[in-house]
Amino acid sequence: MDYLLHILIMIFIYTILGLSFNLILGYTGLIAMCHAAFFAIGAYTSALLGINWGVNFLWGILAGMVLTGLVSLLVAIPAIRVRDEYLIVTTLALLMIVYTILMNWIDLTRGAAGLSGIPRPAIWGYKIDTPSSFVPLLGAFALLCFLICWRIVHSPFGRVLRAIREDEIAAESLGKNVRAFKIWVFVAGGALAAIAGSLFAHYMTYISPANFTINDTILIFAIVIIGGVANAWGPVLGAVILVSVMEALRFLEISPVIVGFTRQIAYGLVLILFMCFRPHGFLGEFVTSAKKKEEKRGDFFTNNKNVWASAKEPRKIEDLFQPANELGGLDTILRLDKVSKSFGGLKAVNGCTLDIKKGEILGLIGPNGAGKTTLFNVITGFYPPEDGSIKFMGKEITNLPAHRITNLGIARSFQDLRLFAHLTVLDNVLIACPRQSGENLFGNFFRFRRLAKEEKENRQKAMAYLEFVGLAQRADELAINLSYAEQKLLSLARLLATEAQLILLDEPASGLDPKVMEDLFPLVKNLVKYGKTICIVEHNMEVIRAMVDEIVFLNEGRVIARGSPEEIMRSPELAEIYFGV
Amino acid sequence: MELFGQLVINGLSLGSIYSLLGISWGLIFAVTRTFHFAHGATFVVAAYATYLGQQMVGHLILAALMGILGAIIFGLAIEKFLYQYLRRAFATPLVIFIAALGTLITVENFIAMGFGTDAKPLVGFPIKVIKIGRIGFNNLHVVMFGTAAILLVGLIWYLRHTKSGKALRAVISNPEMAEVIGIDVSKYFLLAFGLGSFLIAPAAVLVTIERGATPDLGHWAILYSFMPVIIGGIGSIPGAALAGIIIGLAESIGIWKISSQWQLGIAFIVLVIVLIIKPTGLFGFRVYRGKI
Amino acid sequence: MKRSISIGSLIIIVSLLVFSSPSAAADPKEYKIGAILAMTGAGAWYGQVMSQGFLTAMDEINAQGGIGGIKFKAVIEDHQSGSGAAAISGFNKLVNVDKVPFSFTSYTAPTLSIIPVANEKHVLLLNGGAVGPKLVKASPYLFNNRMLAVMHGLGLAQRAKERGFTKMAALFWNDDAGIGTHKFVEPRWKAMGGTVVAAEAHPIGTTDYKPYLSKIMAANPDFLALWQWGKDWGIAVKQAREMGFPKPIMGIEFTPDAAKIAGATADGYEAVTDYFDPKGTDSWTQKFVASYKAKYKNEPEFYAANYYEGVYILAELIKKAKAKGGDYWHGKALREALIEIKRFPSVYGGYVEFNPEDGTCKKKTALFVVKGGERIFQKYIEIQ
Repeated sequence: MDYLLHILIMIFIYTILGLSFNLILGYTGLIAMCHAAFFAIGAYTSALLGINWGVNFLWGILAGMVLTGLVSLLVAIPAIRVRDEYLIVTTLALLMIVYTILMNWIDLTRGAAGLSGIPRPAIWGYKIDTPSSFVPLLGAFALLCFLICWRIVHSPFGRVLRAIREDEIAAESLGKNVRAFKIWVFVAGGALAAIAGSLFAHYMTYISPANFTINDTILIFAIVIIGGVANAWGPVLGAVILVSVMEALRFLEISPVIVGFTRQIAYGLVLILFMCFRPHGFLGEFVTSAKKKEEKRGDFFTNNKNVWASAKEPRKIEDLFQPANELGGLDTILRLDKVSKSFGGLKAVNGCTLDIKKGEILGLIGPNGAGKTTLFNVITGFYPPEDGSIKFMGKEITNLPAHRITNLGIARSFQDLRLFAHLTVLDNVLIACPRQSGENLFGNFFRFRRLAKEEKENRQKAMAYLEFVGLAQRADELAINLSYAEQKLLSLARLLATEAQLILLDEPASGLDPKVMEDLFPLVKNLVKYGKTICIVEHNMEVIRAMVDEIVFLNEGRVIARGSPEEIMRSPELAEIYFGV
Repeated sequence: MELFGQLVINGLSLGSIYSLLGISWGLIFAVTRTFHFAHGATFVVAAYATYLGQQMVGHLILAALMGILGAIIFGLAIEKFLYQYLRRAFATPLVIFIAALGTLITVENFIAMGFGTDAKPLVGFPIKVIKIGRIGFNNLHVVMFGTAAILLVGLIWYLRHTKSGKALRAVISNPEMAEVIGIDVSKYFLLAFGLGSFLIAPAAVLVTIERGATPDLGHWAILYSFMPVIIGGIGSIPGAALAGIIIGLAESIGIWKISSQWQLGIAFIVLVIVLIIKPTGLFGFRVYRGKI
Repeated sequence: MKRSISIGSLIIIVSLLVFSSPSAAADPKEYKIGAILAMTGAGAWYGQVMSQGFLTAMDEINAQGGIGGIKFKAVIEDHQSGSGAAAISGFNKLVNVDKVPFSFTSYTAPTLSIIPVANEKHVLLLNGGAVGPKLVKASPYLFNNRMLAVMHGLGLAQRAKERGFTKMAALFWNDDAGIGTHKFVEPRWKAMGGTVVAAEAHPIGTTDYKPYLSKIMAANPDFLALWQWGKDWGIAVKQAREMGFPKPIMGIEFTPDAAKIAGATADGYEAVTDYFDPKGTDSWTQKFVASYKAKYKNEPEFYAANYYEGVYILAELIKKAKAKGGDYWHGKALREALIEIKRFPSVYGGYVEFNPEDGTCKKKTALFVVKGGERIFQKYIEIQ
């Protein structure tokens, strides 16, 4: 019986590890190799406090969480500035550094010999000494961690995490401070892993660096992968399977040599096979339609019965679009002054000076390579310009990060759309809604009522935007399943949801047939009625003629002409540049 | 002062191995953009293929050639049967990375099961000790340095002056464009893997001669494969080579004043420092990474 | 749904296994014992030779019909070359499912980690490989039939004095065993009139000794002492010679696989270690060597010998405890028998004598020299 309880305890510990890692890997898509390091720091902190100062294990857990949180913060800040490969490398480096410290700082950690005599936990004098008393304790913590992860994942914060995993750049362009989100999920995942570490230490009463190597990180990988990435139940299933199978192998009468290596080979093969044939694991992110409906019904803690029903009643479109901010009499909404940006030797944007007037629809045309998309990227903060200044509504925005610029009121679409493919249509739009207090990690654990109210309001808003573009009936569909035209509409709805004043559309008509365009473009023209300003990059002259008030002609990174569509199109010099005739 | 000289010599020989690891992995990564974590498995395969070769034919050089051949075949197989399959299924970088990780574990443990985990030595290299004052090293260390230098120069010459080398450079700087001008990118991916696997094999042979082959060398090899590349800057082959030497020197000289047991941590600390100060690496340029 | 079915079936399977194991009666059906060894990982060779050692002994005894008609059986668990958690898991199963009253163990850290459970459930532990000082007096249920490192270290120091050296450089494992040995030897070496000019600790299993050897060479010692075990000494010796280190090297371990690595560079290496010489003349030694070679082709070394001998020690304990009557197949009874007997014949030749106070033992220690790749016995060492 004791043996079975021991297995159950190990399952609980690995479940917590899997849940915490799933936040980082499964939901946010960050390949962090250092989870065993968080596990280790939690374990050693709690163990040392317990051994040296007799600190109660609950404080030990807290101390472990704090220390791990700090360390993960230290790692995340430099690592997350850069991309995928660098994260793998940095987190591996952290793991090795932690391991080296554990092995060599003998005075503190006793090195390879490990720490023995870790005190068993005691709660209010009641000592937890036997497996049967450990089970409820660990079960309680596992449940607590499960609930915390569940909450995080079903909150607006979790929604943004999934968006980041799908397309980081799109998330940033919708006003989300991607870097901050990544850092926070790292800290959260690390802190939860530390809980598992402390519990592990007090249960085993003996820990050594050998428990916290890269092999243990790989085991945690396997738990998440097998169970199902980005699924709250996935790590639970993964832990059950892996721990049980590990133990069951002992009962087979095979030479332990073969069993040991076979176990490792099994991990390796499992990882390969799952990646090849079932990358989403057993459960995957999209389990059943029943589950999906449950998720649609909202968060765990809210009274969510009516959200769906009321979301079906969209708000009036006029309510959505705020009246234009007072510009204090200014009628230039965006001013570029001699802006330059080069790549290597190529000057993509070359001393560009441009004004966009409030309430106009401006067309930006020019031959390929003229720098139109680059200009958008510079305006929206994805490329900082080398020279010149950009002012939006009188405010200097030249070197601000992209998400800040979106928050201030400029949003752009992408030529390749960059939708969040595996999120629903509704979620795609919901993410773009600004000022969601549920996007603050800690905010999700207080003021449930207010959060639920906000969420309900945002859902109504999102449905209204979908109504506006005619996609309301597809709200539940995954974005990837939409037709190309529908995807373009979704991209527009998402953009509108940011409540930006200045909207930059990058080739909105490309790939659409004339019938669809006829439906789409009155929509866009209407936006001006609601106080928006629009700038469109386009190659399709029909669209330009029908839509825009003014055209700016860009060539070699500079504005070389500006005027009404008729003027521009009649000019033979420009025609030569554009068409080469 | 003599100790310092000794440590510099140590660092150069160690750094030569790191350079080889770095340029072999760096080439593959720059061309295919795949985080080839299984490169460590190629290293172990090379080492044990050489060992096996020596058991069969006895002569060291012949065995080393067998090792190199084994490495190339293995590297090509991983690309052709695993990575290409995954890429066709639109796998994300994460998925490919995990599959590569799984490959490394599987291969290492198969080898451990088959050969055992005790160190397998290679015989037949006549070690001649060289002494300068009280500084001591041997001809193997000189061979390490020489091999790295020759292979580095060879690789740079190849990339610059041959048709296929230039095609590889085209793919490095802009795969989409390369495809457009008619380069069969998947063929060149295979070339990159073959070349990279070829380059890591001599490192495996030399390390085995010096210390014996153990299955867990794969973990060590992959770590020191991407570290020089990240520190040196992705896309820069000479940068990776130089970074390898720098890491070797830093590790060896780093213990001059501090206790030697911390040597393992030094490389990682250097890595973190470089990432904080100059994330694109010491000599890297921004490799074409896709439009926004 | 899938999940509940799999958990359910697993629970059923495991319960069946648990409840079908034999219950403890006065005479068990078989003498089932446990072993926690390094079966995978860097030290897998040791797990292999250790298990081969005790399996040889069990086969010999079982071939005679066992003890009083009851045969031996071993259940081997893997601590993965030093993982305390793996040891605890494996030992948990041995104790709760297999219900063993006796278990072999190895490596310092895993042994220490299973001691709390051993104490609680009264399981007698016999260690034939680990040498850490922390094992001294670690538990009333832990006994070691390998002499501790500190004793060998002292013997080495005495031998160094004999050879006329004064300046010692030491290279050792960065753990309790290595550091502990050095801490033990250093003051005694100084008391003998010697000095320590360099002391380098390295992570276990290092394969590149150049950094440490660089510092050692720069300190210009008379000789180099190695407080290392396993195969590390072989690599260290090889690399030292390949860096041109000319001075004598001495250590407290000799293993054939390491000697193979060192090859010709090991010539002249002196080791003060457990006296087990496969070429020894003692009749029991020869019988063991023949038996082992017949099954496993290679000659045994002292790791295998310790575990081989361990089974025969257990046989004595069983006979003694059974003679007393009652429930003798129990850790407590076996332990009492051990304390009473204390002295057992050793397959080294001579005896192994246990100290019931702290679980350590005394056995023959010898000085070996390597010549031509072979280990040559020089003489016995009496450690003061």
